[in-house]
Amino acid sequence: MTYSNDASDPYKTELFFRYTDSEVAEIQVLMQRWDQATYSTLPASIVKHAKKHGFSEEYLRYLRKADNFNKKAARKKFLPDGAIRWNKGSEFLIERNGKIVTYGENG
Amino acid sequence: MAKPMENQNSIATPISPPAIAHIQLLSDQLDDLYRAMRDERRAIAQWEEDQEFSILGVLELFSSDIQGYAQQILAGAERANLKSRREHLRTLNVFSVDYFAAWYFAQWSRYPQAKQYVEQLDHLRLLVIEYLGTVAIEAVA
Repeated sequence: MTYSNDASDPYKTELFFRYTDSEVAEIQVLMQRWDQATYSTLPASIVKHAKKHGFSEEYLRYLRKADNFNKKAARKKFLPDGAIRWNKGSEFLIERNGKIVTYGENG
Repeated sequence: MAKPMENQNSIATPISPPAIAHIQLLSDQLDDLYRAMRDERRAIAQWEEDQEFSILGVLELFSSDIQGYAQQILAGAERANLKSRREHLRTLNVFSVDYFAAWYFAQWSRYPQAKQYVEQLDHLRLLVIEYLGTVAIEAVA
């Protein structure tokens, strides 16, 4: 198991905790699609959004679901600040400047 | 090895000033409210299917940005770019979005939990603006 305690960013530690080296590598790839936005770090943004949407300690699953969101046949709506909300069934994805701001489910 | 962040609040810098404790409380309460209003979110999602706008989209976007600024403060990273952050926060007023304000004030009694969430979110926004203003004044003094 890979676990590197990063005192400078406890959210990074939280994000990678419990995952194998290959899973951490996958997380690092998937998180590049995300927007740090106003959070102190990119891992902070991902951990906070995952917890909000019911994916506590399931960060890789959360990142995979966001990455697998299929925009085909999804409803597209424009939001302030150039953001876009994609909605399909109970799932939604919000992007801004080509980066993921958040992903969740309303069902 | 101990699990990191058993309590996510533990990552914050020592919280003693009441303003920071208040920001922490409001931010946590917002997430609790979000989960509690699941049925209302589902109902709003169905209603807005036929609309050209998205109330839930505005809520998600603005809450993300506002809670992000709150998280920066709680992580002890509040001293950089104070002016630009306050200016951005002033634009993150959901009531400045015409269709959102129209939805909020129409049928006042509908979606009470979602509207409580809106009020709490704007409370947090104003509190963060005020806190950053205080930090800016202290930095000058």
